[in-house]
Amino acid sequence: MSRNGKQRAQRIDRQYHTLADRFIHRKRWFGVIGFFAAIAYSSWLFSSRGALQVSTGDLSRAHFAWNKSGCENCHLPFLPIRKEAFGGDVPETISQNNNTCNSTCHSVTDHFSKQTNPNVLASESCSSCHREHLGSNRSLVDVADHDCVRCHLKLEKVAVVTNKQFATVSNFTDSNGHPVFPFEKLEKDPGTIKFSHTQHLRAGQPKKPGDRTEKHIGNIPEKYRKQYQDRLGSDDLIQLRCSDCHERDVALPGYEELESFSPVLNDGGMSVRSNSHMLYKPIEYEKHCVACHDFGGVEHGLDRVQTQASIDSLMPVRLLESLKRRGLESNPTDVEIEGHSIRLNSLLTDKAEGCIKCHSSAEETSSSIVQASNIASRWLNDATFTHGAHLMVSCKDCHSEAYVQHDRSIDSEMDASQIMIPGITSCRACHIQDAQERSSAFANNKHVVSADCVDCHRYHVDPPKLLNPSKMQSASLEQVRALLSVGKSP
Amino acid sequence: MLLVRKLKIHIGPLLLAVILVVGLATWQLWASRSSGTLVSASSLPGVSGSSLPGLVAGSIAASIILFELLLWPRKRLRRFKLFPTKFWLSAHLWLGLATGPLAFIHSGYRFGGTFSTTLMCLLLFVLASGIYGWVMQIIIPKWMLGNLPFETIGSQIDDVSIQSALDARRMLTVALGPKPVGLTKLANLDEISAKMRGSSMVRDQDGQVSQIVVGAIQRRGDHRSLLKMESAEMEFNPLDGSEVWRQYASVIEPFLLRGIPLSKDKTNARSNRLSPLRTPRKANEWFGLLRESCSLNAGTILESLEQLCEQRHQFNAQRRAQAWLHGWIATHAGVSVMLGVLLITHIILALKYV
Repeated sequence: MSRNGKQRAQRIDRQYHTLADRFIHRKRWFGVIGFFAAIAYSSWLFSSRGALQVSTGDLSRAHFAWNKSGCENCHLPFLPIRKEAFGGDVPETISQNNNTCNSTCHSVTDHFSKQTNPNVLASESCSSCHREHLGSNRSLVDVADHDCVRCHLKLEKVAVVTNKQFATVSNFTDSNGHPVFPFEKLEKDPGTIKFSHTQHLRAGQPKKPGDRTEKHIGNIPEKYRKQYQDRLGSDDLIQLRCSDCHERDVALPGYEELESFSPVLNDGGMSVRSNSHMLYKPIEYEKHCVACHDFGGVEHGLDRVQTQASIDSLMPVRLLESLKRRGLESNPTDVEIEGHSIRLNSLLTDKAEGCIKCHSSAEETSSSIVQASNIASRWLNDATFTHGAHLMVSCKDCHSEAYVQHDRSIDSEMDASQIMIPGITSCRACHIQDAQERSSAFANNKHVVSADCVDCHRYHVDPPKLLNPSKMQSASLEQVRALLSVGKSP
Repeated sequence: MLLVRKLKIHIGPLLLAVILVVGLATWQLWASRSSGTLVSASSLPGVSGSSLPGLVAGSIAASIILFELLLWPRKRLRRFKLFPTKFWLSAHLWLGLATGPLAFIHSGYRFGGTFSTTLMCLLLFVLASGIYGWVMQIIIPKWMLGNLPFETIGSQIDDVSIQSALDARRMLTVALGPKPVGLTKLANLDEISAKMRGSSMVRDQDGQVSQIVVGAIQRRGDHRSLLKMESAEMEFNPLDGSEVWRQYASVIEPFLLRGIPLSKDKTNARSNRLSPLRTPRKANEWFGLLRESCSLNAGTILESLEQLCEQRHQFNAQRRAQAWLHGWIATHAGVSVMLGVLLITHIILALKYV
């Protein structure tokens, strides 16, 4: 029996390394399976249904139908649709991509084409601002801050007019990052109505508490008493609420107390947020003022001639009524007739009782008796502020000047000159741009929210300016709502 | 010195991987900040895969992935001596690890759509399985070196086990005489072995099996001695012969052959699980009892058989260890191939719909 190294070595097959063991077999099988599985998956990906797997997210509502009908509706093959993509900022590529939008579905007539440098406009692709694949709930007009700032940081280079001083917008946080609101530059409210909130929110609306000008329910004509019946305080003095004059455009049942003038009630605000773009209707004399400021049937809002005609037509009737009250209707004297005539005519000029008690008188040569009221229907014309989104804070949080109460005699003109709209600093208390700062601020303020550009602004389509600081004018509610709806849905 | 030498192998690819990741991440951050003045971190526009830094990061990651896949064909081309394997593996390891961060830089730290998410998940799986394999390659061989002195070539375990059984039979035949009639029938090992690897048994020139090679067991340290025995020098009690043959046929040989194709038979496999030799401790006890029932002369034979059983135990342990050591490769390779193919699809689709 021999036992040597060679024989021992022969116990192992010399060719063992060329033979596949179970691990190698398994590796080969898995490799083959992986290869064919990947080929099968890849083949499916090239089908229209499979291409959905390549999509980075659902399309917006406007394009939602194309989620299932293929990518080629927007994507030109092998041509970058995004300007940021490598090779995507070539003018020809941008033009071809924009043509896909413009020629097939959209007719983009004005993206500030007259005001924007044509070269800049040509270098902007639709998808640069209108970003897709961000989900069906995302609106295409919800432009990212970055895309707004791209132009607004250097507007002088983007705009055609180069000699104008443009505001620089880089963020909402810094005082230099966003310009103050236009009205913040005004010295006083451009409105001409001599109205004091302090006086009107006093019980009885006296110029000074306790004086003879206090309004009891019995002082107003009977036909208006019902309107204020539930507003009575002590001694039947009328206590007005904000909502007596400021009416919502959209009803919000269950939250009627929102505008009540009660600091206790209003301190907390409402834990509700309305999706409606809630605004307040313009003040109407016939609805909100006439109960206390009735001029014996003389029509309101007429020009000088019409008002005189109205007075003349009313004079015999009113004279007769007056004489009847005094039992002199059978034999009025000329003095009495003349006196009554003077009183009626004094409507035009009497500071205590006439039109100019509230209005500022117009020039003698003007056809109007009084100046235009210039009550702004909307102060933030470049933004889309709505009260509906701010129901969680109280009216007083932003309009604290309207709640100021004191025992002194009021000066209507001075009170009316106050702008009772909060400035940008007030917005910054809740609208915080930086997510981290927002999180830390949440501990003290539960109302903190984002401060994206689109939270307040829409793209600057070119509607007539409703409130221009240099040229204040009133606008109808319909005009305001029309502005708000511009660009809301793609 | 060994550590320094080992580090030298890794330092190049490691540095390259770090430079790529840090460099591209910095570039991407710079690009995202300069692509427009950032309003805030929350409105970071992000640099996607289609931007220049994203594209470069993606291209480098794709190139690395394709390079990683070359490890497989490289084995077929080793005759061309394409760099030493250790350098190749080091590059495979470190550059492969860099593909994860590079892919995230490429995607702008987003997963994206279903397809890109699938791709990313596959990449993460490959990375995870690779890291697992790396750890196993560090732990298992060291453990085997210390704990499995009978270790043999993994693919040859079954073959060596048959050889051991054959050697044991020959030893018993020479020492105790032929197997008594009426005992459990033994398996035809020649046939099995021939089926497994062709006829490469130790034979004489005339083809007769006349030599006994018992053991040939590689031992380390104090166990290096081999059992060398020739039947002519020994005399045994016939009663011992009958008992040892009986136990060999019914218990020892089935255990020695455990795991070879014969054991596919479920009954056989079950019997192996219930074998009194199934653990080293039980085997030790069982051989102790067998020694007590035999005369002293049989001790050498029994010691030899016990050693063969110990070898089999270690083979079993080696099998389990190798399953840990190599089991991951199949899924790693399979998913890597899938990743490679889908990567090409991703490139085509991304260019089409960018």
